[in-house]
Amino acid sequence: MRSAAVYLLTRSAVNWARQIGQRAKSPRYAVALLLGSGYLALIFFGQPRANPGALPPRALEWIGTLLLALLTLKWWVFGADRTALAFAPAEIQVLFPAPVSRAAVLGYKLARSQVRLLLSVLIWTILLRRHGPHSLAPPLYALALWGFLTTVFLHRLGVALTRATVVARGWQAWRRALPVVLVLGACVAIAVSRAAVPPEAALLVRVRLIAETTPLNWLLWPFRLTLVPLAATSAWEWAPRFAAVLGLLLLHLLWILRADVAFEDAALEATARRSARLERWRLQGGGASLTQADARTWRPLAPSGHPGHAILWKNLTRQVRTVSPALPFIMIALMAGGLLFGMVNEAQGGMALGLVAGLALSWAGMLTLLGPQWIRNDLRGELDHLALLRTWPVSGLVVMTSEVASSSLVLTGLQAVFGLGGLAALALSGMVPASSAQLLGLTVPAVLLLLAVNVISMAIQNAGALLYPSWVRTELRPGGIEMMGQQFLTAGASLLLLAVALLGPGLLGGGIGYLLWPHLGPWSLGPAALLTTAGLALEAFLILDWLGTRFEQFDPTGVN
Amino acid sequence: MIEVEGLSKVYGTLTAVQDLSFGVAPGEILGLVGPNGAGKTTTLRSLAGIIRPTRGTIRIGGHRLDQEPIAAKAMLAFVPDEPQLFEYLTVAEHLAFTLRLYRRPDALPRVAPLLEELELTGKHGALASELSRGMKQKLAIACGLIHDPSVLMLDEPLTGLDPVGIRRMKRTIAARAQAGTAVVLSSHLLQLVEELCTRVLIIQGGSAVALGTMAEISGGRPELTGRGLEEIFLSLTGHGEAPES
Repeated sequence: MRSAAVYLLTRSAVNWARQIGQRAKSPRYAVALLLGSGYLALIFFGQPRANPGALPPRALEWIGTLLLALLTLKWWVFGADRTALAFAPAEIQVLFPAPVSRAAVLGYKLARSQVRLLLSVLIWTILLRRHGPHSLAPPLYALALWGFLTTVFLHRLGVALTRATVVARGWQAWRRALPVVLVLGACVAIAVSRAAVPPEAALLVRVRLIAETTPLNWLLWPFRLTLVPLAATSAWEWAPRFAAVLGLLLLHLLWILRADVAFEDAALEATARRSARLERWRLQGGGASLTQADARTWRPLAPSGHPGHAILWKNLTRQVRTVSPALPFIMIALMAGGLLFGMVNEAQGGMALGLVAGLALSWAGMLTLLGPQWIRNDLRGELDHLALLRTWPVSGLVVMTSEVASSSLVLTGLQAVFGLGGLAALALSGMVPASSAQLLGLTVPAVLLLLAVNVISMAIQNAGALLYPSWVRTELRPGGIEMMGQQFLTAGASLLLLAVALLGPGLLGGGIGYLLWPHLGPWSLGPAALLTTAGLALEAFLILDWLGTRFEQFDPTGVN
Repeated sequence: MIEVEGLSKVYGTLTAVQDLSFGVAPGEILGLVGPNGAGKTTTLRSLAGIIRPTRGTIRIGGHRLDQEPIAAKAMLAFVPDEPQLFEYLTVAEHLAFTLRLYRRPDALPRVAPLLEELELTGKHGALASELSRGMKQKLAIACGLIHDPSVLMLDEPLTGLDPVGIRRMKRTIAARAQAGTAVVLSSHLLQLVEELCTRVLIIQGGSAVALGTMAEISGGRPELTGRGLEEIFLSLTGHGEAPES
């Protein structure tokens, strides 16, 4: 098994590197790779920024100890980290039926995890040493970090194995009792230690003092042990601390390799969970899960009508069913609450309205800048179905218009809600020279202008997906240095194209507004916005028509 | 119903399909067989309008696919080997969506009988992501059949179906052909092709090796007379042992 595992790991690494090398022969991948590498080099090796507010190592050590203890308690009590035992589907298919021991399979998993851990050690060593107050030699710091991360990983795996044992052997009483014992034990230790600490100390100091007092310090000792080598200031100080961590690590290793737990069922479940998570990520970019409860009919599709509406309906259904509405709802509720408070409370209402206006307009602005990357219920979400889309008896113009409209409408809706909320707050607070009537009157042209800008912006994003589908990130193409570079390139190119597209209509509308301002005052913004919108709409039609032609000529073979 | 003349598809230096010509009449079932990488899927994807041929013309119901793509595509249905469904739509919504795309509201009354025919009646409210592999295949087939296409192209249609589903699917394909639909069926299950198809097109390396009925293919080759499609296929593609005479 050992030689097979070494072969699998080394060949995988070699093939991965070779694949990157082959892709880099293509100029566009080479440019992306260079950009991504340059960005990483800038982060790792650029001039470090002064960080006068950084916490001292001792404070960091205690914060880390407490966080690690809480995390471990969570693993033992809730067993939430169920993916610790996950394998790749191919590993399940090949390793589980193979004539090898469970310890050998676990040994392989540990060896494979070292690849990712070593990479993490490299990245964190560079980042923490550049931005933290450390004086330890880099190799010793890296070893200390490796010891910490590996011990934590082994403990997490050990918890998963122990929980699998408890389930497999039907020890229900044990399963119920263990969390209670752990939580009660922790509470008692905190209470006893707390009683010995004077209450007048500042909160953070008091927390540290409680953690340093018996018996809580005994409970926290193993967690602190893994972190203390990182705070060492010399090699002499580091050596005994690291030796202790190595001892702890070896104990964990023995715990896992001698467990001989029938972990196969738990591993299969963990693998299925990870696959489902990836599938959700592919569907919606993370967030809510798709269950039968989501199959509710939110708006039935009429049997007759334009096919373009059907595509639009399908994409909006996807948005409704796969993206959690919690965040926008919370923001809208906050905004509405602030507006209401501002209207009824005369004393502090002005401040609340100012806050609402600032936040709401910031959100609207952020959506304008980043919304086209966030909201992707268009062709970018359809890359797996491109072959199917090509069989539909619908013109390319209709397909592309419907796809672009799907994401543009959602984005404009959100911007309009926050924009209107911000404007309402401004009007109520009297912070703008325009009257409420003027602000309300300008709302329609402003929303139309936003929609036109969004259509252009989304058309550019969809053009990227159509012209360079392999640059759109999906779960089948996990991120890497070149993907990072590709994202920089596409973001830069998109912004540049948007600026070019906005220039002509913007100048035209701005010119008209300038000319009309002496006669109409703020009302001149209306015709200016409408004229800009008309110019953008013409541009949008030309872009979509061109994209439609490209769609009809597009060959989806080998997109994924 | 389907007329293909000089179809070629070239990817860089690789010729996937070369100078393929054939036709499929209404009511006919043409079996498309060939070894892996022979160009079957490329041929089917070209016929479905998914990819554009490098050379040659394709006519569906008299409409040239490159010149009148919408009219041609409205007459055909393509069911791929791997069902392509929208995970966030239910079974019923998939069918409603297909009817809108193909502008066939008149086919709405056919939804219930079709769901029953494909044993999907109890699943009409289920999301596609919750269906088993076989159910997904049935839904993809239902989407292909609901708009009553004149041309039906099936790529490995029995994949994932249980024995009852296989029998029903065979009957469905035969019934569609009897009703006048031109069917192109690509499969590695040569027994299925032999059982259902009226003619067979064997391709290898992107070119046609044989085209016709079983009798026509074995005619002029005494060593193949009376042989099954499997032996004919292996012999023509150079993988078979010399048949005993």
